[in-house]
Amino acid sequence: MASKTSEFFMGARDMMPHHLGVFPFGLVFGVLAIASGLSALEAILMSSIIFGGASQIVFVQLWSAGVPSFIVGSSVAIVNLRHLLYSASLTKYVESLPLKWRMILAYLLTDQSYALMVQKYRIDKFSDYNHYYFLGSGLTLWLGWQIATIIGVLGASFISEQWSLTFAISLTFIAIVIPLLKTRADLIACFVAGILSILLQPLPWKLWLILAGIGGITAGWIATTVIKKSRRSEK
Amino acid sequence: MIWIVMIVAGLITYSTRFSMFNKSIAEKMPKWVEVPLHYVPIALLTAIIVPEVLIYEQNLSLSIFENLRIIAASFAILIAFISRNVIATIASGLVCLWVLQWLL
Repeated sequence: MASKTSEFFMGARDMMPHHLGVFPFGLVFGVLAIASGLSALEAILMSSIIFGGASQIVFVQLWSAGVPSFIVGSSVAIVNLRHLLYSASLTKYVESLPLKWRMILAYLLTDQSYALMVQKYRIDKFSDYNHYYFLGSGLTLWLGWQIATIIGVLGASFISEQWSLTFAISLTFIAIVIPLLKTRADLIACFVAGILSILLQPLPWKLWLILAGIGGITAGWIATTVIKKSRRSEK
Repeated sequence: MIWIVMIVAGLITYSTRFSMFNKSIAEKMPKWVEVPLHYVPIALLTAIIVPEVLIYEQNLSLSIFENLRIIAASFAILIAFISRNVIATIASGLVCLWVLQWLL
């Protein structure tokens, strides 16, 4: 029977592969934040206050481009909307935990920890200490993210653009998105979002991000409805 | 000013994470919301990836000789499809890009 500590360390260990993508990502965020004119303190604390890589990058890029605060906030919110989905699909596993636990685990909920938790609950549904696994994986990622941010901030002037670290961000997301593409509707959502993200580039305030996101979601939604209807009519 | 935006953004982010960990809120969520929500990560992450790869020095660059990221990203996507492995995907993309940069 797994103990609390063994679950905790198993979570920490299973998170290790994700650090390969998250570490350069955190470095890039630190460097980018300083280059965008944020102070070291602002950059470092943002990693604790928001704790969401993609949205933090979006935040500093928009902020340095002089985009109105309202649009900056909305863009961050829509990028982070996906946590609602993650949160919703974990509800049944965590709802019986004490409030304190749920509050901490919610803070640690990321793309990476969600991916691990889904797998963990699939293979180990009845372990009493799955929340320790969640805590172990989440804390490790949090710590890695903070350290990477600090190194990025401190090393901003030494880190070379030639290392192509920004590309590591795209790769991290590729590693997350590709396994999500299972149905035709998923592919449609992906293509529509991708095409719109390029076509809408001329819009001000980097609105392409919000609009391409909404466009992709709507396309997937319509595709699901259409496919369902056509299946029903075939029967 | 930046602090206010940062804290508001942090609170919104936290509330999306915590919302469904709350039985009473989770029960109130209408069933149909699940369908569009399913596409949120796919749509948003793709919308971040594509310009990051295709836009080079603020211009759309579709030439595979000028913009080596296209080849490296395609290679990583292929590896992701085959392996479904995080390390393999990220490492293959980075190594591919570095090798191309060194060759050309």
